[in-house]
Amino acid sequence: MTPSAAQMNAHIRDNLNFLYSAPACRVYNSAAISIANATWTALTFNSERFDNNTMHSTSSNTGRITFTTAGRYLLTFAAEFAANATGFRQISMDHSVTVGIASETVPVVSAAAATAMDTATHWACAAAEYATAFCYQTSGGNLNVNSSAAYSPEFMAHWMGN
Amino acid sequence: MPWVTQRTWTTAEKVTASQLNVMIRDDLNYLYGPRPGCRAHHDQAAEAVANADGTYDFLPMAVTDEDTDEMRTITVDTTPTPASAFAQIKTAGKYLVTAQLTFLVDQAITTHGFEWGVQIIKRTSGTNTVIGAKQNPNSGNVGPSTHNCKTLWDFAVDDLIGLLPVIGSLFVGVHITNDRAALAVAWLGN
Repeated sequence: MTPSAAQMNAHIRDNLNFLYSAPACRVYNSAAISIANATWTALTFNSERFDNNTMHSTSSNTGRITFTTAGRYLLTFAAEFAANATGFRQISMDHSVTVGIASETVPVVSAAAATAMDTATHWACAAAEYATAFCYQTSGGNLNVNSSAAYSPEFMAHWMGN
Repeated sequence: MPWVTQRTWTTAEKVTASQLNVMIRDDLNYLYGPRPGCRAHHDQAAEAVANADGTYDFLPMAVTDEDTDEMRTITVDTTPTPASAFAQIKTAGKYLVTAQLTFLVDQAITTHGFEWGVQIIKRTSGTNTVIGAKQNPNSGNVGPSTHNCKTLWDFAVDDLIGLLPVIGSLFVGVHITNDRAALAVAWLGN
């Protein structure tokens, strides 16, 4: 058989372009988010640094990265808590089917220094499933997750393979 | 060999071996790898890290462990920081960046402070942007403190990537072995 131009475009051009520009996004929130004491709080993200697969919306379910394309994804979440001397800090990521797929827990740094954290994992995701990011702190009162430069709070995903 | 933009095939055109070699062989080889990336580490047993002027200094990474895209050949201005502190993006795209360092046991913690960590910096035309940060408590006089930070960023050609120790003290020592003060950069996609 002789392949048609349409077949060549679909099976060579388009598939290779998919692998070259695999689905990925990085989103962040441009303002601090207050976290209540001893309460797991889902973060929201009102801005996008990049999103090449309609994985995030800044108008609905802004806390989600949705896997428009199924596959295995590298997921990373970073957040910086405001300086405070009391308690401990946790961050975590959930998958829509599985709660708690990655986390980090640390004591506070000091009363004078923020606590900057990140966590990452690799997870198999079906189309339309999604990931969310959470923060937890035990300062005894409300405490901000800072909006800092380009590192807090930031939520990222990159397709690594099917 | 760099990625070649995929061509759109047209009806009735004669496909040549050269076209197939470029469009299929070479681009598949590009994706298979080795993809653009590098890893470098510091080469001294310990180094004082100063912040007496209120700013931090990029950590030099004198030893290159791997470099598939000439990323450790720096061609843009890094003044006043030594070029060895950086990896330079030669192929645009989304990269996974990991940085780690280990601080020595603090011998005088009350004066050296607690604010220890590591930042991943994107430096574009002399402007630094923190794109990743880890700042956790140190181990005080009990033992060394390792900080590991990772991030995903969409870089442009000529962006620099560096590792910045973050301290609240006048100086501390930085433990250096090839796995304890290192910067690794790996291309994931365009």
